[in-house]
Amino acid sequence: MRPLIHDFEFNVPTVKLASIQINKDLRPYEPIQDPSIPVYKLRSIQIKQGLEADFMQPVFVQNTLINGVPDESRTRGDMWKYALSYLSPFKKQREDELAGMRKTYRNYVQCFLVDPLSDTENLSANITKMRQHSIQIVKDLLRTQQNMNFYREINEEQALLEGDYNGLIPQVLKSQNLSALFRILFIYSNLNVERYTQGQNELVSQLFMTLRRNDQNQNPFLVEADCFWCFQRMMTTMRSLFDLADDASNHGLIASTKRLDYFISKLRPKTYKLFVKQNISTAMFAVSWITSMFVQLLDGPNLERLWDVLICQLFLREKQLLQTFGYSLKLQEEVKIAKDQIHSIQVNPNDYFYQSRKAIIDAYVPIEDEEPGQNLLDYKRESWIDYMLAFCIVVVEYTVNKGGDEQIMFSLQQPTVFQEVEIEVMIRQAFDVLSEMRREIHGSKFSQFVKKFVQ
Amino acid sequence: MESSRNIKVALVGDTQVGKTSISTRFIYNRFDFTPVSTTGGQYKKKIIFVNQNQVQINIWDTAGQERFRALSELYYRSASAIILVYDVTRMETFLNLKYWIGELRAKGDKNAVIVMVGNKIDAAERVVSKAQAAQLAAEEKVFYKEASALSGESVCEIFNLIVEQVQIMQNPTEEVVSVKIQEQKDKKWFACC
Repeated sequence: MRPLIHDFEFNVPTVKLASIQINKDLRPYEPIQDPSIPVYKLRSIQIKQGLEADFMQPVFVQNTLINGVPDESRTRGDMWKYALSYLSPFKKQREDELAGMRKTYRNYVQCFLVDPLSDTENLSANITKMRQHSIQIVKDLLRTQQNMNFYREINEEQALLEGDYNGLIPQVLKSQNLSALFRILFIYSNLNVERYTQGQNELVSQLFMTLRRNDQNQNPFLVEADCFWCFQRMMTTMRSLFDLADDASNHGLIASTKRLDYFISKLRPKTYKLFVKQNISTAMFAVSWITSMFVQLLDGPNLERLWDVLICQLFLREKQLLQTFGYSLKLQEEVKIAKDQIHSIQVNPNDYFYQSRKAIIDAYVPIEDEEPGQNLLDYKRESWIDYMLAFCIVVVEYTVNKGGDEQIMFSLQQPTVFQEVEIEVMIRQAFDVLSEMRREIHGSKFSQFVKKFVQ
Repeated sequence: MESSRNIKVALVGDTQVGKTSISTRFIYNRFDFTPVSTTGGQYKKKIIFVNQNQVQINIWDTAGQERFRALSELYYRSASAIILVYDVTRMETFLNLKYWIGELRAKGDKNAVIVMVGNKIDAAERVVSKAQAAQLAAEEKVFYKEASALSGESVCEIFNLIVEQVQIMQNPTEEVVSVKIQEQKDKKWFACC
């Protein structure tokens, strides 16, 4: 018999489901021996030491992100890059790989922007063709995070440096950072079938700002290249939220809001009654929360702290995934598979773990006749969003408890909870909700299944 | 359908035609130069006084981009009035109106009052002419207004028209007194939330 794995996805239901094992040494606010050193400093030192290691332990990345990266350590950018599998876990390979990726990005800029725009014969034809992508992007960039000085347009003289890409974009972007965002999104929309979608501008803007702020080399172009690849990797898992074609799948945007409805109805029946009474569905307010990962609600350190956890969810340890699907591998093999063809590993439909996953999917009942994902990528796409939904429930709960019945939809549009409750508290509560969610699913269908199996 | 005391209005149209600006102008009487793009939808409301009667206007502001159109349906499905916005400086937003009207007729409330609004008439580079738009409105049997969220011109009139038409729709037999929403400056009459 295959041993049961105490994975955060599939705990045995009889045991109390602690969603994630947090390493006690890394827990913030834990009393320490020497009270003269603040905890965040201690953690900064730990993280910096950890980054020096020859092999980056996935568990280290996960623990660090769940507990939050202290701002003063200036390592948040690196941690995110590891979590998005952009930096190699092996120290030896890191520099070469980075150089390669940055070179590729430079080539993309050459192919998609520099060459077509310098080709004088076909210039106007090229521009007309390319404009379909560029105009929408620029429109949205001009209204992206404009409350941040980082993206504010600057004075005219400096603006002349950037230009309007020979008329490719309708107006000059008067900020170097906005120009960087434009290049990233433009190349992304050219390389991917589903093109650019609103919401992606918010994601890239936050990603770029954080990477730039935590960059040690002070080279904006390298940061831009890194940001592009991090964004690309983020989208590998999140793409279905932005692709209309994926709406009919278990990991699409519609299914996500349906899941949120399902969980609210099961875990917070009072709130759900209120929603039904006032004819509110979560799709009415949660869509912008989910697609922009709360960028429109939060900003600054609070947002970065939340993103630590959200990005950690995008990074499900390959080993855990494989174990979930019944593979048992050594570390070296794991990394090799992870790089080569992790997403194409097929799952045996008779497998115990596949069956349990199916039980969970059945419990959501989002889309009829849709089987759970049969490969690892689908699995990742289905499961990463659970924490985000848990956080949504926390926000909803606070808002509903506070506001009068009449005002509920209105206050859900502009939740004031972030001004009143510490983000750290809400993040912890969301983890509790997450385990409640899992308990709910396991309790309904999965537990019976497991009982049979264990006996 | 909701009673005339409580009117649900949905704003639809292509991306960046000024749907959010129109609602902000109406509700707060101000113009945001750098609004954020709307993903999903936004809910706003305002209580106004029409001929001494209190009317609550619930505005559902939707996202224009194609990806979110499937979701916009949620908002306009039960709306008693729909403001269909296009940009007078961009022809393609006007050409898309036919598509929008088709969608609204197919999926929205059959009795909904549809008002076609040409926004940004303050801009110098106008492309869509008044006659052109009036013709389309007549063909499709929808109401037609032009406005500017930037200057505030005619924004209130759109809502005057809506309140009036919704009243007619709901009480066809009663004689409807012409509607005039109280002036925005008059704080006594104008409660804002």
